[in-house]
Formats: sequence, C-alpha cells, structure tokens
Amino acid sequence: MRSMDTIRTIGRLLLRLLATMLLISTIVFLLLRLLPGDPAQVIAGIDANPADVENIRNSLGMNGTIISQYLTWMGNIIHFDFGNSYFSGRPVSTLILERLPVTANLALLAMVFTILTAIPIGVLSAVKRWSIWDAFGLLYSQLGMALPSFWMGILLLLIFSVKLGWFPLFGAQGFNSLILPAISLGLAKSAVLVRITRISMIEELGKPYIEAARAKGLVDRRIQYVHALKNALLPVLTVTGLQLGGLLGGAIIIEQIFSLPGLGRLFLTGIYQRDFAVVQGSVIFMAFLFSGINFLVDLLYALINPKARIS
Amino acid sequence: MNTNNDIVLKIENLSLKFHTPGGIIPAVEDFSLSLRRGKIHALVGESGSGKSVTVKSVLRLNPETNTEYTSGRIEYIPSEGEPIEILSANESTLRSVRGSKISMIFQEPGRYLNPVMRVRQLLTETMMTHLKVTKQEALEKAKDLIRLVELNDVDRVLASYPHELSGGMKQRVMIAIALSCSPDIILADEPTTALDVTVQAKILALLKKIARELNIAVLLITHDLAVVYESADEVSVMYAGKLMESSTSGSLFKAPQHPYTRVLLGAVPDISRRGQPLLSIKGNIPDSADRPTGCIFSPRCPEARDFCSLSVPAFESLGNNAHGVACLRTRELFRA
Repeated sequence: MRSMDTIRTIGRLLLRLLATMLLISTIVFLLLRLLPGDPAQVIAGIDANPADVENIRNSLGMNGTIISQYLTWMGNIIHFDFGNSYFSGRPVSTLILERLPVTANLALLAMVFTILTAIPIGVLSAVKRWSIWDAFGLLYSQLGMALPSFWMGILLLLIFSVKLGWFPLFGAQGFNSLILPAISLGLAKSAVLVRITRISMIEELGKPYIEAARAKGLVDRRIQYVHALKNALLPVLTVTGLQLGGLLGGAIIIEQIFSLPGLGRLFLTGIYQRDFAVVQGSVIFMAFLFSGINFLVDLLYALINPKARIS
Repeated sequence: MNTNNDIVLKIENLSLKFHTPGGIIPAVEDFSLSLRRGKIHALVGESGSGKSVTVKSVLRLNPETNTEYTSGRIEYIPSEGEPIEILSANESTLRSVRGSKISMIFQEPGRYLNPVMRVRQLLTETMMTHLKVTKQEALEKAKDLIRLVELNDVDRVLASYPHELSGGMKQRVMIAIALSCSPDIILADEPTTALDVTVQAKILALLKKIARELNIAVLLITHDLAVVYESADEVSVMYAGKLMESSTSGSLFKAPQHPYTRVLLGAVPDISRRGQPLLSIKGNIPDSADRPTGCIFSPRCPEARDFCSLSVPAFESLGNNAHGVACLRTRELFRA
C-alpha cells in the first residue's frame, strides 16, 4: 500500500515534468515565430541575396507550414538536436554539453556552500534566539542579501586572487578556480536561506509536539535537531530547490566576472552574435534543467514529508 | 484503605505566577492535591481555571522564562528510593522523571505527535532514552504496548505516520508512549475532549483499566462532569486558580458542598428537565488583573453573603478527612 503511494507520487511528478517540458518547447518555438522581424534576414544582413536568406531559413527550420515546422522542432528536441551554431557550424547540443560541466559544477558547489552555511547558521539563530549567535546570523543574512553577487565576486577576486594569490584569477583550472565564484554566487542564496531556516525552526519549536517531546524526557539536543529540524527542513528544501534553478541564471553573470567557459558564456555570446540556434538551444536546455531539478526536489520532499505522498 | 503508602504525588500549597508583557498573572494559588496508586483523580474546572497550568507544573513544562513558582512543593514519591521534589529538581533529574516515572497525554493527539516520525520511532525513542534497552528490545516492547492499548494490526500501526491514524487511534498511541517506561503517574490533559463521544467512552475505559491493572495514578483534567462521573475515584474542583472542593467522586456527586460545584453540576443538561432552559453560571471567570476581594467566586455565587467578599476562605476538611471545601458559607452551615 505504501509503495503504491510512492509509485503514484513519482508518476504524478513525472507527468508534471513532461507537461512542463512540452510547454517550454512550445513557447520557445512560438516566440521565435511570433516576434516581429525575420531571424534569417537578421543573420544574413539587409543586403544579403534572397537565396542566402532562404538557406539560413532552412537551417533554422523555418520553412514549410507552421504545423510541419512544429512537428520537426519537437522531433529534433526529443533527439536532443537543437540545430547547428551559425558561426561555428557545430551542433548546439555538443556546444552545450562541452560547457555544461563548468556551470553544473559551479552551481552545485554554490548550492553546497549555501546549504552548509545557511542551515547551521539558521538553526543556531533559532535555538539560541536573541543571543549573540542570533545577532551574527541576522548580520550575515542582511549583508548577504544587500551585497550584489558581481560586487562580491570582484571583491573576492581582489583579496584572494590578486593580493593573496590563493586562487587563480580567471579561467577554469579545476576545483580551485570554482571556489570564489561559488561563494559569490551562493552568498545571497545563503543569506535568504538563513532567514527561512531560522523562521521555520522557530515556528516548529513552538509546536505542541515539541512540548510532548519535552514531556517524554528527551534531551534538548534530540528535541531540537531531530524533532524540530526534521519538520523545519521541509520549507527549507522547497526554497533550496527553487534557488538551485536561480543559480543557473546567476551563473551567467558570475561566469563573466571569473571568465569561466560555462553555459552562461555560451548563451551570452550567442545573444551578442545573433546565433539563434545557440540562444534557443541554451534557453530550452536551461529550462529543462530547471524543471528537472524541481522534479528531483519534489521527489525528495515527498520522501521526507509523509503527508505530501498522498495529496 | 487509603493509607499514606498509596500516595505517589503530593502537590502542597502550590502558587505560581506568569510574567507577561501585560503584567503578572497569578495562575495558581495555594493549590494542594494528592494522587494515589491505581486511582483516577479528576481535576475539574472551566476553561482558564488553571487546570492545565497546574498539571504541567508537575513536570515543570510551563515555559521557565516567564513562570515563577512562588511557593509550595510538588513531591513525587517513588515506591523505592528517595522522594523527588519537582520544583527544586535540576534539569537532569527532571528529564529522568519526565516520560519515565511521570508521563503525560494531551488533548489533541494529532498535534502532539510529531508528523514526520513513524509510530515505531515515537514509541521506541522514549524507551531508548530512559531504559537500558537495545533497539530490538524496544521494538518488541513497542509491539506489546500497541496490543496493550487495544490496537489491532500491530505492524501496520507501528509503521504508520500519525496522520494515517484516526483520532482515537492516535490517542491510544499517545497512551502507549506514556506507558512505555512503566510510569507511576499519568497526567492526562483533557484526553477525550477532541474525540467523538463513542471513542471518548472507549478511551476512558482504557485509562481506567490501565490505572487498575498497572496500579498507575492518573490525574485526569477535564471540564466534562460526565467524564468525571464515569471514571474518577477522586475529584478536585478548581476555579480561577484556586481549589474549591475536593472529595471522593461518590461523595462529591451525592453531596456537593461548595456552591460552585453545585452550580457546575446544575449546568449539566439533564434529560428529566427536558423543555426547560439550560442552566448557566452568570458572569465569567474573573480577569486576573481585577480579582475580587474575599472569596474569588463570591461575585458569581448564588449563595454569597456579605462576609464572603471580606475574607478569603481557607481550604478545610469537613468532619471526615476525605471531603474538603473552601467556602465560608458552607463552614457556617456545617458548624451550625
């Protein structure tokens, strides 16, 4: 009976994931066709001869009826085929896969930093409310939220790379080169998460089941870190999932500052060069990534919150 | 029969105050009560009369930051070993008593069971905290406890989360948790209020059985006199933080001595008075900031005399030891 519930939950989440992906593909498809102007003409330039424009249009998959275009488009996406980059001539999917590791590692490292700082600081703030620890937590989250990540990035570069020389100044040279970008990317997320952890924990600590746990004679540590924290983590997890998606967006800026050859750079260069296939491919891919992450987060949520399994 | 050896808990002249932003509130004043092994002692009163506060004092569960125990003693007397005075006990002594020697069940079991923990875990954690048992032994004992509280399908219940059980089942689980370390005392804070009437009766019967068969003293808080009549051996009536009357259940229902008790009994709907308006007590429990002088019940008392608002009646026993009352008027009549 219980495993049936789990299977049904996974099925429901999968269905939602597929629906989202379908919707994203359709919207991106429509955007390019509904926007004023002819992408092929833009790429080729105003003076180009019609044959060239037609060629480019073909390569963008923008010939034939809208229905047949849509079907080809969807078929290509299923095969992970986003066309070729107009400038390099290489398949967009290859370009994405080349750049993905840098961005993925950066986002993951930033997330790890966020979780490892936010949860302990938030919990400590809640457990020792109105103490010096709480004041520190408050200061941390205020600063983290107020300082823009690109400014943090430049500051960290100045101190740790230029002055101290502990980390490389630019480029992707292994794990070391990702630490500063991850911190500048994760700090703002961490600051928000501290507040959410603190509030959630304080709320749980005031609940009746905590009084019952005290009446059972459990030690404070068990009451706080097992009984309360397990419940307090539910909203924290939801926000973390959303933040992980946001990290992908934030990576675009941070990759510029630290000169990291990631997805963000690919995307931005694509925009500068009017490389429609690259831009389209990156947008769809990031959107898919975002949905996929949310799917995993929902799955994890269902795993730790028994009530979410049925509803 | 009521030898002093039976007494397992003595609350003596307990007074406590709450410090709130609005001022100091005297929540309990000069309250005394004794619990006996194997007996159910009901603590009756309206909402806000201080019943819950009193019972939570026994485990010192009132928030320590704003609760001030101004006087009195709460003494737990184990069958072996030295008595423990709760109000002066240190945190580790308190923890060893809580859930082990004295355990507690609550009004809304759904809100008092951790929603993300399975029944199995909720049951075994108490045993593993207080008893020297392995996880396996605790699990075996958990199965016995589930059977003891008359739940079928032991394995399913143990594997369930609280929200997967009905209200009555949750309360039985709570009772099982309370019983897990073989306590001497169970404090039951309105354990049946949130339940259906049919389930209420079953839970009360279970509590009664537990008290008798396991020789446990039960302190049963309720505002429902039907619950008292059905289950209690002894009754204390509380009003605005003060003890009004205390007696055996039989004596109290047969011959209530305090006007408040009489009014309370009169307010119970009675099938033989069908068609007549329901009786109610005029007025409300006095605001703690504006307490009447003299007897605290005098402004609402149908039998009050002039002298009732002049001096505070002491709680004294009437003739025999078992029946006590705090009322000037009753004493006057009794002496006459």
